[in-house]
Amino acid sequence: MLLVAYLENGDVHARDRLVEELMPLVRSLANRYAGRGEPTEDLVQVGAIGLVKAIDRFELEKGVELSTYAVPTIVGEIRRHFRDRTWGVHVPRRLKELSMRLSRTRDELSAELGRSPTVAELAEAVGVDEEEAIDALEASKAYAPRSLDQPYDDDEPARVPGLADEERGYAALERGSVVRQGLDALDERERRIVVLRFLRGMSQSEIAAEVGISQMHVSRLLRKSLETMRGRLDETEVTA
Amino acid sequence: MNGRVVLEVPAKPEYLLLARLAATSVGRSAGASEETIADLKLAVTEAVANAVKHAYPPDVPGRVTVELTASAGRLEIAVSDRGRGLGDGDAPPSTDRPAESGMGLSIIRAIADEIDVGAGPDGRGTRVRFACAF
Repeated sequence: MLLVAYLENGDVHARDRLVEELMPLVRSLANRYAGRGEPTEDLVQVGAIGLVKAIDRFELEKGVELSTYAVPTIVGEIRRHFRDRTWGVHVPRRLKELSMRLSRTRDELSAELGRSPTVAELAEAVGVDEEEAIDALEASKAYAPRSLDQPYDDDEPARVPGLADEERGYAALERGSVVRQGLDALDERERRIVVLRFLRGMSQSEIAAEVGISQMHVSRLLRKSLETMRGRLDETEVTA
Repeated sequence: MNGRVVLEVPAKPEYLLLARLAATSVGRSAGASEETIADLKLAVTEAVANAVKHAYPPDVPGRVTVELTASAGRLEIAVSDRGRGLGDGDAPPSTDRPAESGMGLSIIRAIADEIDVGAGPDGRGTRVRFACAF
């Protein structure tokens, strides 16, 4: 049996044959998620990864059919793909998971307390220390970030509602993240403006008042900064 | 806890399970979750299976080295061989069945946070290096 050959003897050929046999299952599951903004072929690919994971983790003693066991893993992988697509910059999975837990807990606590919980209350409820909670909250700002290609002349505040808003600055961004690399290409003042605009969610006029230059000047500096960052990120992609 | 394990095995499928065991114990002692460890085992399996399958011509004995390094919140794995390497044109990897050729690296790519494929330590063979943060 192919499954035994893989699990007990490490026969990867047998595993790959098993994957091929079960691909129709992956396709039918992927089709359920078609038409939601991701190409079906991509969904089949990530579903296949889910299938491989399921085979890898299967225990022969379990007494269930492999196909039954594999369905939740395949679907889980497809769902995760949708979730990951909305994380715009790379964030370690530990922080992603923590930030999702924090966000659920924040909703629960808000309902309970009738106000937004403090970071300390949130951290305690989730069972992590405050520092870690702050890191995860900062990381969650990378969730569906405003696109660098989005028009930035709009003078609307870009604040993400409900997030802790302490001034942590770009230093709190995950080290080594793409955004961080882009920020490194800027000078001090440009960096400050980009951080105020996209992390603090301040409008151009608010930034102008804070930095002490005109709103037009802020607009020009933002445009230039984003171009510089894009240039840096393109370089990074080529060398990656 | 920092830890480093180096495992050198013959390039044969029966040693895959040993590499998986090494991944499990390094992952556990580093404090990774069972979920991360399961992913890691799969990625190691793919990397070693790739080396076993493609590094050496059939019937030529060869060896595969697996290095596992754990540091705070991060596991790094490098699988290297001294085989024919990537650039060698006379033995293109078989592409007749997608599940056999392309799957390995794309699985590692889907699991790892970083991946880097290049020549082995002394310019020979192939080295696949990847890392998972947890």
